[in-house]
Amino acid sequence: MDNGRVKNIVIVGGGTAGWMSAAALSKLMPKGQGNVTLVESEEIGTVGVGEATIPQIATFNERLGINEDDFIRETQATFKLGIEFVDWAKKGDRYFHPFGTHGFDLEGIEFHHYWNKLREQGDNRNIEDYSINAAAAYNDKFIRPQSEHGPIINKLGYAFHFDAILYAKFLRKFSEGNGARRIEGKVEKVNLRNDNGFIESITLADGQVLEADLFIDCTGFRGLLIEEALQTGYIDWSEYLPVDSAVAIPCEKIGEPIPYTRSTAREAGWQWRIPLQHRTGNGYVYCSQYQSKEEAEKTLLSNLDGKPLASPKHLRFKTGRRKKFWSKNCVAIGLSAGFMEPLESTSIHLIQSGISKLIALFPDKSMNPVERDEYNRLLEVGYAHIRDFLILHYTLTERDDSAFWNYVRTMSIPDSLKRKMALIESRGRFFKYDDELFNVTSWMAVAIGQGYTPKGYNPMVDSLSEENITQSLRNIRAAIDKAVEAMPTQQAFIDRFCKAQDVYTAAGENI
Amino acid sequence: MNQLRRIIIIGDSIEAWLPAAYLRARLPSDDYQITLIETAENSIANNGDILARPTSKNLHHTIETAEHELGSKAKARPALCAAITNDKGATINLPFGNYGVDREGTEFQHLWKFSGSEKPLSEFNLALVMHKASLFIPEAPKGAPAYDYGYILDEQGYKNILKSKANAKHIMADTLSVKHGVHGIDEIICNDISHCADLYIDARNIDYETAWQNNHLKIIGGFDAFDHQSGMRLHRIQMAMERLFKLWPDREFAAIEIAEYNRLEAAQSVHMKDMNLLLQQNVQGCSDALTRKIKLFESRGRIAIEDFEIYSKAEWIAALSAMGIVAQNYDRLAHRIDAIALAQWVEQLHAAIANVVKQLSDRKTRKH
Repeated sequence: MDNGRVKNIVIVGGGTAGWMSAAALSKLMPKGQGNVTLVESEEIGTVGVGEATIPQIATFNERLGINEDDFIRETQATFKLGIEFVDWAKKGDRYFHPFGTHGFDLEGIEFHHYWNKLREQGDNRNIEDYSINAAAAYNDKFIRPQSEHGPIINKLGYAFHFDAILYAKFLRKFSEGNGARRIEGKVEKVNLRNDNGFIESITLADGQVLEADLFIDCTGFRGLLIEEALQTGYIDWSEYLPVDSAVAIPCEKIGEPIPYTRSTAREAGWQWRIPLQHRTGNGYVYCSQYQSKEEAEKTLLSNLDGKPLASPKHLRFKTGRRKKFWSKNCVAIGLSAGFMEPLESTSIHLIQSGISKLIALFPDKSMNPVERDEYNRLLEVGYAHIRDFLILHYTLTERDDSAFWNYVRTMSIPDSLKRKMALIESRGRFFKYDDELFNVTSWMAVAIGQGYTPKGYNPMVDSLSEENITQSLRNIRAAIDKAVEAMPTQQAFIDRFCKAQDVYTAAGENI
Repeated sequence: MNQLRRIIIIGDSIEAWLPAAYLRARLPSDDYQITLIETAENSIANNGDILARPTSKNLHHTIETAEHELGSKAKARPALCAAITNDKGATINLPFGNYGVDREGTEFQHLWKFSGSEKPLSEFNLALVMHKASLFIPEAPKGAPAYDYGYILDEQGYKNILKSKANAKHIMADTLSVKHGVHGIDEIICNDISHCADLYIDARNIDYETAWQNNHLKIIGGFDAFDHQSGMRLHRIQMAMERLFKLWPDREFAAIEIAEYNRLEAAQSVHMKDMNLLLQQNVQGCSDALTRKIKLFESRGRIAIEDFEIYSKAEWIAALSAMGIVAQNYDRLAHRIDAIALAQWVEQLHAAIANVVKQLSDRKTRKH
């Protein structure tokens, strides 16, 4: 007997966060011993636009037993090898943040030190010339790495671009197949217990009352449970990341989809371009202090590849996080937990991270504060690491052509980031913390890409002769070229393994 | 040229010879001069056995020392755990292998607790079971709990190996005096002769607050008796060298890099101290991190992992359990597995481990 066991979980809100939570919990909850119920209303729209992800999503899908090709077909997904940043350092500039790695470490020393040594001696090759991801991306190539492919192709890291609404639908089917129940309805009231302030139940507009042991708040920015009911509080990071608005619109795709996301800096923010199989997702994230809604919409519409397929959708947000992600018997997952602009495609990862930590620290009805505190501590650390990495993109800009860029270029930054940047600047040193999402490749790609090239390199690099280093780097480039040459195009790969149905006959209503 | 070229290492036994061997392997011998001033001052050498944790395999790979060389010259014997005896006479074995086998993303200790097995958790740790029975095979059979192994080495023999790898200029110090200046160490007077270097690696056991200042890097301080038994004696030098290598300086000794070294060193020291407090079974004054670890373990047998951990989850479980801290409950997700089937599986795993041990014992008996 175990009377303290969490048996009933209610997830409030559908969308990506809600259905990812439902999928994971319905799959992982002991069969027949727990109920997962998701409440959502078709009247309330979801934020979901085109979503770009990072490679960690494969772990989530794998853990759920989701077949990758099925997932790609069902969500009109394409492969993503990294992000191209255009006009970030200065107008006319571009760089690529690849998944995977730059080159290979040699003699136990990270690759970028060798690259930097040759650069100091006049070699003007870009560090991304040593990334198989960048080379494949710019040649529209893709192959799924397999063990027999050898070391070069196995350095290829990939994620996906997908239609978030289709992903939510896909996960809904998956969750319901695993016993999750969906209730259509709007929450009218959140009922708290008098004795301890826990959420006892929610009352829906039709009068239905849903009780649960654990509530998952996936209500988006609003934070219906975590904030409106439990008043957890919010930590505002907009002094570092001042964009607070977005406008999104899908457009017709022109040609074959490219296997990377593009982020183009604009006057008061940046524009994303996410290629899917059936269309292209676009959005402009901007700071309303420097640009009006109308101007932002105009900027976006004048920078589309193809004909718009819907009306522009406007969003407002405040960058930051809840003071507590888990409060009493409520865990906030997704935008209700915090918001960070999708510059590095971390939204889905933060959902995934919240779910996996909740599962690792799964509570009983008492909601032991020890586990709750640990959950909050881990998430706080994770959010702060991502925040610092995002700020890096802004603080390193040289742009001085608008008030927005002047602000971000000169703003103060957190001490944790200052320390990291100082270490990079001196000799490209980087130490990854256990719970830190972005690795040395990511930090170097953005820092070097924006002109913050380390002033020196690890002197140990001199252990290898210059000739030896030059030859090693030449070999890496040749091996990358050869590997990319042999790869199929992304479109050919998709056509062969995971082509989605024709959108106009199968999923036309999603456009 | 601003490169540092001259390195002096001060100390005794492996504390001094290991950095010398490591740097010799990493640095081109033509360009770098390594001098080792051997002094028994503040030495922690005990000329007995020394434990090399499994992570030492990376180190031995770097200094090109094969297992057979450790065997022939340092009488290497495999170690499946760190066997600690504390001041109270209690023996605590920190295993180099997992407890049981995880299933469906749930760690074994939760499955074991849910199964209600009466067999002690330690009997599901193949490394511990084999250690107790004085048995060894290098790799766990398929399906059995995984483990790694380290070595118990004869200190003198090991020191000789390191010495041969170091190829350093060696000075035995009858008298030693270290002269400090504004920029760290100015010179070392050894046997009345002055020696200067760009970097001084101090491997004497001297307490310090800051490991690295200017050209003076201290790698052994606050040595605890447990460090002998837990394998930290060797491991902390290995960590110091790996950190130094990643932050290899020039003669400017950039403050930001030294600060980073010290920050990482301090973080790791906290974990070491915490483990030593647990082994001493007196956690008064422990860090917040250990308090969190204890509370989380007590609540449901979970191990919190912090940044820059040194010990594995299994070692923390062993130390916390030895301290008498019992997990009150287990991860509820263990319930995903049918209780009867789980209980059977747990018993089968126990029997499989016992079978491995029996087969090894029989083989050992036949050999004899």
